[in-house]
Amino acid sequence: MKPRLIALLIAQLFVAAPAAFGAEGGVNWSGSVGLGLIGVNENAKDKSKFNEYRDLDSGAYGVFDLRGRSDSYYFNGFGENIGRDDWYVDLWGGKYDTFKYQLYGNSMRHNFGSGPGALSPYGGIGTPTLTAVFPSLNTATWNTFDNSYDRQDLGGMFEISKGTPWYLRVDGNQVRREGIKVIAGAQGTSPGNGFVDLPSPVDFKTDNISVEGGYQTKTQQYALSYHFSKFSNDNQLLNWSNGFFSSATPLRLDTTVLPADNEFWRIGANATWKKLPYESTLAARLTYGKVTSDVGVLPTTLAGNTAVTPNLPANNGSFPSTGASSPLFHGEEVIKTASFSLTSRPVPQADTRVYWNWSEKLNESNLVTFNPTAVSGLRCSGTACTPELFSYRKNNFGLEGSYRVNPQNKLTAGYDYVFTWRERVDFDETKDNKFYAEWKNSSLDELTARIKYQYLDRNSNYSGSTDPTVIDSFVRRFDLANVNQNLVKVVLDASPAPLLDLGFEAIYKKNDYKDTSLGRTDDQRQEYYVNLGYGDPKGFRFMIFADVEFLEYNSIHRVGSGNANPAAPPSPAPPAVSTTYTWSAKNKDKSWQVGLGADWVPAERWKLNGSLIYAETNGTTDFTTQAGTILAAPLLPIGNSDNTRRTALVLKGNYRADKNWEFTGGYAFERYRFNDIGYDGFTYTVGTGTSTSYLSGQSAFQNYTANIFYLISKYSF
Amino acid sequence: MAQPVPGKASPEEVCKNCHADKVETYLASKHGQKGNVRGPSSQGACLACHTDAALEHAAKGGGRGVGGIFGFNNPKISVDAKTKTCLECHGADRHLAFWDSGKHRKNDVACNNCHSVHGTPGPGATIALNKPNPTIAPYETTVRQLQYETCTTCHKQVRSQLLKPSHHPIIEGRVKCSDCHNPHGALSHAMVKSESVNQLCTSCHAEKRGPFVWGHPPVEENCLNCHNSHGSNHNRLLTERAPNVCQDCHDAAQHPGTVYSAQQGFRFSAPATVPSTRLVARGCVNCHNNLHGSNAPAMRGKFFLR
Repeated sequence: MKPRLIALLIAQLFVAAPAAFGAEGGVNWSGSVGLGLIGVNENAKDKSKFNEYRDLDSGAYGVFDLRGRSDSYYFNGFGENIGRDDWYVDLWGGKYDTFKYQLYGNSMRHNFGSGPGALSPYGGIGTPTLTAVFPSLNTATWNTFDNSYDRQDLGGMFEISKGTPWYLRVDGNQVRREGIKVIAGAQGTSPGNGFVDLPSPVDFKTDNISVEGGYQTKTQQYALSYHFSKFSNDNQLLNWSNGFFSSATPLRLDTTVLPADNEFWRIGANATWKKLPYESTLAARLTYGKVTSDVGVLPTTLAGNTAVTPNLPANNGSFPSTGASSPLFHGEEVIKTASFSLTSRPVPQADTRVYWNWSEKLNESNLVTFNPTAVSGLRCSGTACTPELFSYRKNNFGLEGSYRVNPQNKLTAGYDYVFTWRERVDFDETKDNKFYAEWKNSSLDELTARIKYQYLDRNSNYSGSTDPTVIDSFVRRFDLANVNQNLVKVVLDASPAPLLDLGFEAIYKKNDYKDTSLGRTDDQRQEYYVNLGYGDPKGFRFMIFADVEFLEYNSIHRVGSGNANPAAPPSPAPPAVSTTYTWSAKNKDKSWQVGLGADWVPAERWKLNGSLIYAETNGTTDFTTQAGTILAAPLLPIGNSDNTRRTALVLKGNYRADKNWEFTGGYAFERYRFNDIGYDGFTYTVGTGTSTSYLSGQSAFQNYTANIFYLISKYSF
Repeated sequence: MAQPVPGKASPEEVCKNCHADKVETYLASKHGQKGNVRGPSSQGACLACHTDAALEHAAKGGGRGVGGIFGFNNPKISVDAKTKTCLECHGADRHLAFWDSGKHRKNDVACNNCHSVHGTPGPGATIALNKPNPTIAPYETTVRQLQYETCTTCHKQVRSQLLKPSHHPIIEGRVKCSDCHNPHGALSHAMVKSESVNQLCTSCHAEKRGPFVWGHPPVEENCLNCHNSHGSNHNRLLTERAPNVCQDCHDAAQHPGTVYSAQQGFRFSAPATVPSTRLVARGCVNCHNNLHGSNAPAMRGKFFLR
């Protein structure tokens, strides 16, 4: 929807709504308008993490809240951060039981790590062509850019029912994303020659429209809906100087294919029948949808020089044919789903549910194959390149029963089965059998306890390579590998005294990928959450929470081009340094955080709030190698994998001077520290010569300390 | 249900003698609007929800539970009974079409666990949600009533994840729980508002919808294979840092199977002579940038390089 059209509609709303109210009489308007000031003092080399989703520049902003009520009509208008990047406006209203409408705008700037201080050796930033002369090692000569985009969502809705069971609703919105986002490309033609961060233009637009009509009563509900979504990108290709190749003219521009335009539509039908025998409800939903995307396939692309002019150095580059079987890729996926659910209460103490979910995603795209010449450097493992069009079909059946032994005890048990067929090279079928049981007890007035156990057994049919000389024969990808999963969850909620609430939750989950030789072999997580709340919201109340999480991922890998069998001894034989050997990794994430919050109403006109959070995350990786492995130096464990420390303090006071004026002021303090193996000791360039990598600084300088002061004066009427 | 008797005081007038604040908020709400012909104001006012027992309650001078008044905060009254009261009017609402199939009903969640019928809607809201605890969050640039504060009262794991270094802008008020989930019930897993996780995610991240010349099957099947949508310790909501998350699936004679240890960071040490571009910054994604799917030709597309 065009912004101008929206502005017009908003204007009409403001005119029409009072008119409707006025015609009826007895309108009651209330609301407020406010003006805020914010002052921010931050100490950060790169403040993009600080304002990742927030506009925290010093300045002014407006806020309004408007409510109109009459016997039949209602209207609401709300807006905040007016004049800032994260503005928000929502206008909605209607006539009770007859119609309703909404218009809204929601804006946000998404600052990626590096924000306005990002650096790049490229010129033409913001356009689809990035040029540079390499090597370019002096960052003082680089260009700066703002690694962020604005996201604006403008939309509206209208629904009419006119007091009948019939209704019709139309929703529409447009989401625009505009700015720059760093992507990257391998220097040369493949990994091994370094990489370069590429400031890629973002000019995305997504238009959505939905129409739904139906019939709704207490015993039956039917709906038919249509949804259409179109994504479009103003830039389909990003051309960029590839530093591996000579900078001699003509410029050897490489090409990255940016997100292509696509369309998605779906029709859906819902039906629910209630108050059937045994207090049963039967619900169903059917959908049929299609995603399409038409893309021109590149007929040539930058490659080594050997294909065309072998008399020149290889790094002069050339543009050999990609050998595409078709100049156009017509992407098309058909998605069908059917869901049914029957819930019943055969006896007053028991609830049952039986359900079946079926879905199918068929990739009906035209298969584009690539058969470039052997000397082009574009072939796939020495042969022609043939994509695999991924399709799947899932059948999910389940049943569940709960029995209330008495008002204080409830037992639940269930079984869930999923059969999946896939068109995938390694696993073509998967069967998931899940069993679970739960006991809920509230024998004590002050305590409710719930304990749940779940067991999942997944068996997949491995259809990949069995050639023992090929490493893929030993790899089982964890998303589909055979697994035994055990999960235990305990939840306690207690109110041992008036105004006092205690909560505790513990989760233990372990996945054992039992038949995996190479890949993730097991993972487990332990999570503990505790909270304590006390007080009366009309006086003083506080809450404190503490969260602790332990996550662990274990995996086994094989490196080298020798014997692929992970059980085979390292090679070459000692005392030579091993080049082929098996190794394992133990990745751990430990996180904890505590939070304290309080509200206090010390006097009738005063309200005070405070919040304090301290959080830590710590990631480590330990390595072990197969017995007999000889290394040039022992492997050093990683002790800083996304390690963070965060302190966030908020203090806020609100004073209501009289029935019209209200003042809110506050102070906030934030401190964030980030330490990660991937950025510790960061440099903008890595390596030398034609294999130099050029980085933008994205995510490298996340540390910040900030003080925020703010004041809002609000006039209510 | 008893109706107000002409000439006698209306339920509102009787009830406000003791519950003035409740009656005031009721009258300010949609429930209290006279023109809302299907609302409580036209269906017996206070009695519509608190039942005719409220009359006896009043006649006996009031008091907690006196007269058998139907009180939504009374733990002795079953969740089913409370829900049934709301569904007397809202049972025809299509948003509740799948209530019976949803997780909340199964887990004994009553409407008033989330909705504060006598509460005052916060700024920017029509419906008041319960917020039983003080806000505990970093500085927010919004004053709106944020859903997550209600939902995370029970969903403690999610509360923790929303505060992680990498998270969707939920505590910032740019995304709300009901953008992705239908708390009133759905036939889908986790009550998401789409037929699959991927359809849900690509409703916002439409550029990743494809279809692509070169697809990446685990991406095409389930975004949650690699991402945790609520929040993570790792950039881009990844469940593990790259290259670890990639190596859990990819092993080969070439670099996917290589050890990337602390010797290969920017502060490299022997035997490394330079930082590994497969460990620093975004790890594998430094080169395999289009891992969600690529339309590039030949091996550039197959390996998601362009």
